[in-house]
Amino acid sequence: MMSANYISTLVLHSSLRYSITNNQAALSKASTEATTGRFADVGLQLGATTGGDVTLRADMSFADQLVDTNGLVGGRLDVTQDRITQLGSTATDFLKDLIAARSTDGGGRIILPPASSNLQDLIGALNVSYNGSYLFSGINTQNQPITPYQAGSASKNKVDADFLAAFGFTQSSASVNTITPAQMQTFLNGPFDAEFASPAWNTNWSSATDQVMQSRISTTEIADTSVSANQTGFRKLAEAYTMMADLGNANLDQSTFQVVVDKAIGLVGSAITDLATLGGDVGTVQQRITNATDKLKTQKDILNNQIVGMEKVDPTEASVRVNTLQTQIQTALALTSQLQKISLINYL
Amino acid sequence: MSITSALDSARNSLMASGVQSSTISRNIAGASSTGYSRKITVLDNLPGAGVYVAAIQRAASSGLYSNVLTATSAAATQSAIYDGLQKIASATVDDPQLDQSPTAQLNALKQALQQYANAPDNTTLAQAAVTSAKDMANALNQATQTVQSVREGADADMKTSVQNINQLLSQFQTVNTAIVKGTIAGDDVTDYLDQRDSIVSQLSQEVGVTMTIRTNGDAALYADSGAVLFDKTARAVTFAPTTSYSASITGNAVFIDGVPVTGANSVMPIKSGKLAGLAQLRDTDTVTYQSQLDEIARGLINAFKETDQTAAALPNVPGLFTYPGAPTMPASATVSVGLAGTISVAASVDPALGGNPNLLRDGAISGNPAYNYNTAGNGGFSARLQQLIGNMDASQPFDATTQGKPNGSLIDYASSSTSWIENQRKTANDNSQYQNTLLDRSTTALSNVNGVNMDDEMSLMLQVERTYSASSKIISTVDQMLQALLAAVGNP
Repeated sequence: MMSANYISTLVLHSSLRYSITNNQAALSKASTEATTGRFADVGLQLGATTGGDVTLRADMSFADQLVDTNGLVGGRLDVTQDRITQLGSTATDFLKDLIAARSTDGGGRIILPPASSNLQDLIGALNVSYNGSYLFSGINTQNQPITPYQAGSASKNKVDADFLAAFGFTQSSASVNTITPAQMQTFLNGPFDAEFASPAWNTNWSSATDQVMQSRISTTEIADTSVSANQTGFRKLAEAYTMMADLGNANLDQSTFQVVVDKAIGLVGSAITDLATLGGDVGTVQQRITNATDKLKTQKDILNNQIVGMEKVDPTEASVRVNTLQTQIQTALALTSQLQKISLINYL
Repeated sequence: MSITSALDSARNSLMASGVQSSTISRNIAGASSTGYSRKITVLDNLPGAGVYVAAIQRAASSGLYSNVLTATSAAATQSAIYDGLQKIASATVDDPQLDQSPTAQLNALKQALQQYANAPDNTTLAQAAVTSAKDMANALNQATQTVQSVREGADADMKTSVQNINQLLSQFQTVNTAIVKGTIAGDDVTDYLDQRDSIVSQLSQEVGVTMTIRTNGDAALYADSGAVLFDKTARAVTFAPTTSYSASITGNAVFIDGVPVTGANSVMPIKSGKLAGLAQLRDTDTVTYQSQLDEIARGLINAFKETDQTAAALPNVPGLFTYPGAPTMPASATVSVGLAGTISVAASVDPALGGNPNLLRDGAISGNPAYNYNTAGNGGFSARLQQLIGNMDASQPFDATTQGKPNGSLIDYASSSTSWIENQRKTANDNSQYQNTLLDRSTTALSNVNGVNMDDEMSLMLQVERTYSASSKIISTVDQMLQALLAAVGNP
């Protein structure tokens, strides 16, 4: 009786039970996979490669973050570039005015209004704030970089004091017409130049740092992403504008005035070149950011494809599996009830 | 006289048929119970006196039975391990899409730092970065709690398992004694044998067991490691439970007959059964995962450490992430046991505790101005933040005994830890499925050898019924013959 053909009633009646419970578990898994298109239990399926999956996800979301922050940095640089361009074109116009004023009678009076308004413009442009921080402050972003040039401010006080010390009277004094070209030349190249060089510039004019903001623009690149108000181009412009606005030029002797104008022409000309270089540098960084962002976006797509590839289940395959399992379970259930009917008892 | 002999034979046949039908009815009654083995009436002939019942045997296969025991134990081991790992994995990793894993948390912190580094003068972003750091520390604290609660659960289950074993062993003793006595007396002990097998089956759930049969049906039980569970008397299985776990607590060993069978100092370590699975979960798997969490915590403290910015060459101190052992740095590349449970964000940076989140940018979180990176106090100072992001990506050494990546960035190490736990879970699941299939097959094979087929029993019943009616017919025929004889002789 213990032959290969012998089967116990218990096994006969319960043999399908195991297959039904197994198939039901598989059905629940398959239907989740068919609806989501991903493995029902990703970690269990991937096992030792799950770490790779979570790393890819982290890399992708960091790339996404960098694209966002690059957008903000890009915005900051756009404003910076715009200001530099504006200052450059104002300077170019001013240069023309200077050349015209040089040989004009009363040129000092004519050039005074544009000079003082340009000085205010320059200070305003350098004090621009973006998203709560001052763009030209270097890294001292919580403080306005340039002190306004007005009565009582440190910058004006120093210029006034230097003028008084050099000539013995103030800029508004009628005696300014007694200043000789040589005296003026000495003053401009001496104490007045010193006001716009370090350390006086950093004390009286600017609180910006030479160190500029740095931003991570890709996973490995860190770029300088701001411009300091201490750049020579800005100093030269400030010097030229101050010179033309506040040295009592209107009353100067024509030949002395020409000394001032010649110096100013030299400064503005050189400042225009400096600003062009600066604009070029900013443009380079802008280009780097655009490139980095493009690369990051491509990288994000690749990472996303890899993640999908790792976690993906073909929904068609999964739904075919659902159908097959349903059929199997139905067959098993039908067979169970059929088997119950097969018993000798029914025939005795 | 041959007519009387025919009567005797028929009478014996009736007796035998009675025993046979009683066996059949026992078989039918036991047909649906798993531990029941089919009983067979063995008939024999005495010369001149007809059939008699020589013995009642049970259908059995010791080979298949031991296969079932082995598969039961192995399946129980794997499912105990799987259940524990499943709890840990679902609490610490879950679906990668949900970004719950330590890797995802580290990346979230890195992102918050990147945002802050982009606008270092923005206090809101500073607070967001600190919040993200607190989330990271909390996640590690909670993961530690989860791991330790799984250990507590395993310990409690071990206690239950040991109680079950002792109870089953005392039942085994009772039944075994009955078998020995019955065998000596020549009684039918087959039902006791079934009962004993069923006790051993239950025992094999708890611990891998082998049974050796000796004279008079006496059995001895050994654990799969060779430790004696039962020999003449039941041996005591003892275990002192530990109710509360922390990473530094090692659970007590289980002793069989005074010999330690689990843990690092076990002399005869048990290999299978629920008890072995729970012990492996409590003493090995959870401990390894905890050490990985501790290494992630140590890696964080290391990545955010502050170095002396003056010429005084002071030692490095913990910065954003700190622990009770501060200001000393945890030893490099060595597991600090339980660190993941105690790591926290320094109070001096936490706005909720009155701290200043901008210290994240400036340094000197520890309070000593020598560690200030931003002495000028510039709002746009981002060098330190960039350095922190760089530190998170920089390769650092990790303790190789934790089975994670020995050298790599913090995120890489955390990912290797995720890989480890998921791989353990996958392995346990695969093994569990395989062992369950094997158990199903073995049980089927055994049942097909020792189980009852109702149809077979019914047809046997018909056979017995026919024999019975034929024997009855013989008795009545003999009776008629004798009556005829007496009538012919007695009535002249």
